[in-house]
Amino acid sequence: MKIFMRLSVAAALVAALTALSIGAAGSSASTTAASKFTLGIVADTGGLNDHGFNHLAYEGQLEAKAKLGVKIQTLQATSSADYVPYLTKEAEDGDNLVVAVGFDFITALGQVAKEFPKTKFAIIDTPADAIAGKPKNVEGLTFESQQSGYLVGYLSGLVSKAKGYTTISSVGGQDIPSVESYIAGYQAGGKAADPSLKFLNAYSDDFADQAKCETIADNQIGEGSKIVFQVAGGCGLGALQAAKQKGAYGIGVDADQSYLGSYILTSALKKVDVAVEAATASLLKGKFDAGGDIVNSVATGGTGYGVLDAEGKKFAGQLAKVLAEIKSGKIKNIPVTVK
Amino acid sequence: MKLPPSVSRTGRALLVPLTTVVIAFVVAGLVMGLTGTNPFKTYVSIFDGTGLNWLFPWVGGQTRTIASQDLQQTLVATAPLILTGLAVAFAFRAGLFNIGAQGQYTVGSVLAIWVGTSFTHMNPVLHIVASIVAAALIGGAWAALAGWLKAVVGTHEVISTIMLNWIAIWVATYLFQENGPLQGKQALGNPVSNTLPNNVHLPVFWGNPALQGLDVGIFIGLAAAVVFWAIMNRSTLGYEVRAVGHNPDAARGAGINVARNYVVTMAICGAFAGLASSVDVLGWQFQVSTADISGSQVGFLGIAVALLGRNTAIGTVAAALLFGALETGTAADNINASVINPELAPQLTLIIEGLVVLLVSTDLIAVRLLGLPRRLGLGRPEPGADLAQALEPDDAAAQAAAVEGFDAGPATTGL
Amino acid sequence: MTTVTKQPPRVAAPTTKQIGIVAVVLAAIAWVLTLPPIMARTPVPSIVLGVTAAVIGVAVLRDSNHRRLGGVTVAIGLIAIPLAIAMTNQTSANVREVFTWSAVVASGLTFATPLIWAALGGIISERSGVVNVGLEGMMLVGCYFGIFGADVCSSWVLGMLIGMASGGLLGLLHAYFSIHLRANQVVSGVAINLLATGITGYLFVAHYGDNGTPGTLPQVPNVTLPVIDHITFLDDAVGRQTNLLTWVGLLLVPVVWWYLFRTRAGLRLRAIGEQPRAASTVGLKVVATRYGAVVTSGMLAALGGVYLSDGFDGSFNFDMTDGRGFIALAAVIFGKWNPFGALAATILFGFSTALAYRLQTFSQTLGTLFQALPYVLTLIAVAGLIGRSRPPAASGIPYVKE
Repeated sequence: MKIFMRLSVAAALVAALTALSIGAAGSSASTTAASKFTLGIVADTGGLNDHGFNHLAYEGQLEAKAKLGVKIQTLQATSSADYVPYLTKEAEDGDNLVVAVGFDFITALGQVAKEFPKTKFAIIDTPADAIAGKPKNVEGLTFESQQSGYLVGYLSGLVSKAKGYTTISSVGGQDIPSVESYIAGYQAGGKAADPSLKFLNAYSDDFADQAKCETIADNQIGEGSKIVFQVAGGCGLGALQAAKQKGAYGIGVDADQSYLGSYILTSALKKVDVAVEAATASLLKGKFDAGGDIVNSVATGGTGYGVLDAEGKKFAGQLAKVLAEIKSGKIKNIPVTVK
Repeated sequence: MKLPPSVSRTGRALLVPLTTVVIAFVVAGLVMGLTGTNPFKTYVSIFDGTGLNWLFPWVGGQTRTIASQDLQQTLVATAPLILTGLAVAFAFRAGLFNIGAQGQYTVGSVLAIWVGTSFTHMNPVLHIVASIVAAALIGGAWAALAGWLKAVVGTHEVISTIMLNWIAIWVATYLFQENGPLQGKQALGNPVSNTLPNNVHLPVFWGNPALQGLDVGIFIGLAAAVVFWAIMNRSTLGYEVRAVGHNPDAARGAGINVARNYVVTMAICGAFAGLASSVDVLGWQFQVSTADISGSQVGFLGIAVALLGRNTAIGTVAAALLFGALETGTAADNINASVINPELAPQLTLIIEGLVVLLVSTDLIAVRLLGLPRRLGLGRPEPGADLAQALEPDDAAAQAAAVEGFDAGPATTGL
Repeated sequence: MTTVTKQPPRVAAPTTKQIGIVAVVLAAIAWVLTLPPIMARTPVPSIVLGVTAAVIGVAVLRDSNHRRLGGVTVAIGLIAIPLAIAMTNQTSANVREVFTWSAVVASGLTFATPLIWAALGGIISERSGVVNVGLEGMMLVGCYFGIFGADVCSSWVLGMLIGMASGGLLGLLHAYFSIHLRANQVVSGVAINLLATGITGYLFVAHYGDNGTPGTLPQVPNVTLPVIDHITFLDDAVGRQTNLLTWVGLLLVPVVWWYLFRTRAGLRLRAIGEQPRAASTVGLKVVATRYGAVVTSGMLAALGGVYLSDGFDGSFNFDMTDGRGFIALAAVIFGKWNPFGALAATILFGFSTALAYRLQTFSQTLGTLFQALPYVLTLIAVAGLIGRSRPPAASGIPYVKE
C-alpha cells in the first residue's frame, strides 16, 4: 500500500560529531583524472523523485557530471533487500566513490565497506562512526540542519513580532534526529527573535500521505498558528497546502519550495546536491575524510535558507546578519533536540 | 494452431498459463516500444539482471560472477514471496480472501527480531529455530483472529484482514519508534530495533555471507510449498478446506465443521506469512526499522503471486520466482541511464507486473490461441455452483480437469 | 431486504433487545459525559453508568439470541471507564483542544469523502455482479488525471471530467476482462491496482519531473452553506471550508440508494447481480448492464481520487491513495452493499481518523498508537454490530450466455 513510502531516515548527533570531524584528519589518496572517475549513488526506497534528499543527491550527481566531467552510475533501491547488492554492484563496477543516500543504509554499508576496503564510500546525513566496525573507507556527509531551522525560525519570529502573531508551528514526519534538529533550531530561532512566541509541534508518522500532514497543520492553524514549517517530505506538502488555504504562511524544507506560491515565507535548506558534488571534487583532488565526516553548515554553504517572499524580504538584512553570526560562531550551540 | 490430442491434460494445464505469460511479455514489450524503449534490449538486460544467465554454461569470467550474485538476489527475493503467496493461496482454496498477509508478516517480523535479539545465551541453532517458530506462531494467531471472527460472528475476512494489517503496522511502528519499547539501544534516536547477533543469522550456502549471499530461507520456502501440497492433497484437512472452498453450505451438510475450518485455515495462512518475515529478518535484514514496517510490500505482492500461481503449490513457487526475477532484473541492470531514465524504471516494473497479472486473469486468450475447446471451461475460474451447468454432462474427464486446475479460483470469497 | 417485525399491540415486558439498546445508550452517555460541552471533571458518573451498562450487558449475554448485542454492551460499558478516567486526568484546556467538534467534523469529512465516492462505486459494481477490487487503482488514476486535467485545461471542471473519464476507462478495462473475457475478477482487480500505480507514477515522472505538480492549480472549490456555518457544532470549519465534492458525495448516497431500491432500473441491476440467468431469460441485458455498472463504478471511484488530489491536497504524489480503495472496499461490505450502511462505515472511519490525529495532544509517544484507532473501531463495530454479510449471489461469477 505504501509502495513509494517516502521514508528517508537519517541520523545526526551532529553537535557531538562536529568536534569529532574537526579532529579527524583527512587522509590523502592519490588524485584521479575526472574522465576515469565514476561517482555511484544508491538511492533509498524513497525513490529519486522524492522531492527530498534522494532527489537532491541525484541532482548533485548530475552536476558533478556536468561540471567535473566524471562518469556516473545510479541505482534506485525498491526494497531494503536491494541495499547490499546495489552497493556491492557499484563497488565491483569499480566506482571511485559510492554514495549511500540516508541512514537506512547504515547496516548494509557496514557490511559492504568491510568487503571492499579499496573503494571509497560516503553516507548522507549520517555520521561515519555510527557504522558498525567504524570502517576507514567511509565518510559521513552530515548537515547542521538546526542552523537552517534556526534561520527560518528567526525569520518567523521577526514576522510574528511585526504582525502580532502569537503562535507558530511545525509538522514533522517522524521523531528522528534529522527531523528533530530542524524543529529544535526552528524553535530556538523563533524564541531568539520573539521570546513570547508559542510553538506547536506534531508528527505525522508518515512521509508520503499529504492528507495526514494537512490535517495536522489544519489543527495547528485552528489553535492559532500563523506560520507552518513542514519537515515531512512529500507528506509535508499537505501542511503547506493547509497554510495556503487558511491564509497562513508556510515554510518549505530540504529543497527550495518557493515555487509553490507566494505564501511560502522561505525554505530551510539542506543542500545534499552541493555536498555530493563537493565530496566528489575533494576526492578528485585526493582528499577523503577516512572514517570522519564532512560537516555541511552555513559556513560551507550546505545549510541555509531559500528564496524569501515579499514579507520575508523586509527582514532580509536582519536575517543575513544572523547567518553571518552563525558562520562566525557568535551564535552557537543551537539545540538539536526538542524539549 | 491446434494442439494434437496426444498432449496430456497436465501438459495443457501447464501450457495455458505459460502462453499467457508470454502474451503478457509481448504486450509489455509493445508498451515499451511505444514509449521509446527498445523492448529486445530491455528484456535481454532484464534477463541478465535476474542472474538466470548463470544457468548457461558458456557464460564465464566476470559476467558469471555477477550473474551468480544476481541469481542469489533473485532467490533471496523469491523466498518470502513463495511464503506470502502460499499464505494467500491457502485461504483462496478455502474460499477466503486473505488480504492480511502483510499484517501477518509485520507481526511476524516484530516477534522474529525480538526473540532473535533477546535470549542471547541460547544455543544458536535453537535460537534460530525459536525465532522462526515464534514468527510463524504470532502470524498464525494474528490471522486466526480473522478466521475466528468469521466463524463466530460472521465478520467478512476482507474487512478484518485489512483492518488487522493497519493495526499491525501502527503497533509495530509504535514499538520501534523513538522511545518505543523495542527501539534498539544503539539506535542513536532512530526508529530501528536492536541488531541481530551474527550467530542468529540464517546460514548462507551460496555467495558471500557478508554480501547478502543466498541463505537457506529459500529451502524454508520450498519446504513450505511441499507442506502446502501435502496438506491440500493428501490430508483430510485439505479435503475439508477444498470442500468448504467449493461450497460451504454443502460442506456443512456433509458434516464438516466449517467454523473450525475457517480458524484453522487462517492460522495456517498466517503461519506461512510469519515464516516469510522470519526468513527476511534472519536471512538478510538483521534488524527492523519503522521504514521496513511501512515500506514492505511482500504481503501484498503475495496476493498477485498466489493468483498468478493459481493457488497451487507449484504454481505459487513459479509465480514467486517470476516476480522475484522481475523485481531483481528490472531494477539493478536496467537502470542504466542511457537506456531508460532511472526515475522511470521502477514504474515500468509495476506496469509489467500489472500486465502479467491482468492477462493471467483470463485464460480465454491463451485457450483460443492454442485452439483448445472452450467447453473445457478453462476460461472460467469459478469451480462453484454453475460449473456443472457450463460443462457438457458427458465430458466428465474435462470437468474433473477443470475442477482440479481451478480449484484455485477465489470461488466463494463473495465480495 | 429486511422486514420490520412488528411488536404485538399489547403492553409487554421489554424485550431483551430493548434492554440491550437502553444499556448501549447508557454506555454512550458514559463516554460523552466527560467530553465538551458537558465536560464533567470527575469520572464517577461515567464509571457508574459504564458499570451499569456492562452489568445489563452480561444479563443480555445470557439470552442466546442476543449474544452479540450483549458483548457489545459489555465492551462499550467497560471501555467507557478508562476513557472517562483518562479524560478527567487531562487539563480541561487539553480536552477542549482535542474535542473541538467543528474541527473534528470538518477533518472527519475530509477523510470520509474519498471513501464515500469509492464505496458508492464499489456498491454499484458489485450489485451488478462484478467484484471490484480495483477501486484503489481507479481512485489513483482519478487523482492523477484530475490534477493533470485541471493543470492542462486550467479548469477544475475539466480536470474533474478528465479524472472521471480516466476512472471510467480503467473500469472499462476491468469490465472487458471480467465480463467479456470472463476473467477471474479478483485477479483482474489486483492487476488494475498494480497497473494504475505504475501508469500514474510513470506519467507523473515523465510529465512533471522533479518539482511535482505546480503549486497554483485551479482547484475544486470549497462551498459556503449559509445555515450550517451558524450551527455551534459545525460553524465555519464545516459551513465554509468543506469541499464541493464532499457535499455532492453525501448527496449522492440517498440518490444511489433510491436508484438501487426504488427504481425499475435499480431492481434490474440487482436482479442481474443475484440471478443473471433468470434475468436474462426475462429479457434483461446482463452484459450491457454490467458494463455500465463497472464503468460507472470506475468514474465514481475516480471522483473520490479527484477530491483527494485536486480538491483537498492540490497536488499529486506517488501512490497517494495509500490504501483508501481497500478501506472503501471494506466499507462496502461493512454496509452490506447498501449506500447508507457504507456511509456509516466511512463516517465512523473518517471521524476516528480525525480524532486520532488530535489525540496526539495528550501524548506524543502514544500518538503513533492512536493512529490504529480507526482500524480498531471499525473492527469492533463490524464484529459487534454488523455480523454476517451476504454479497450479491452472482458477484464474482463470470456470466456465460446459454
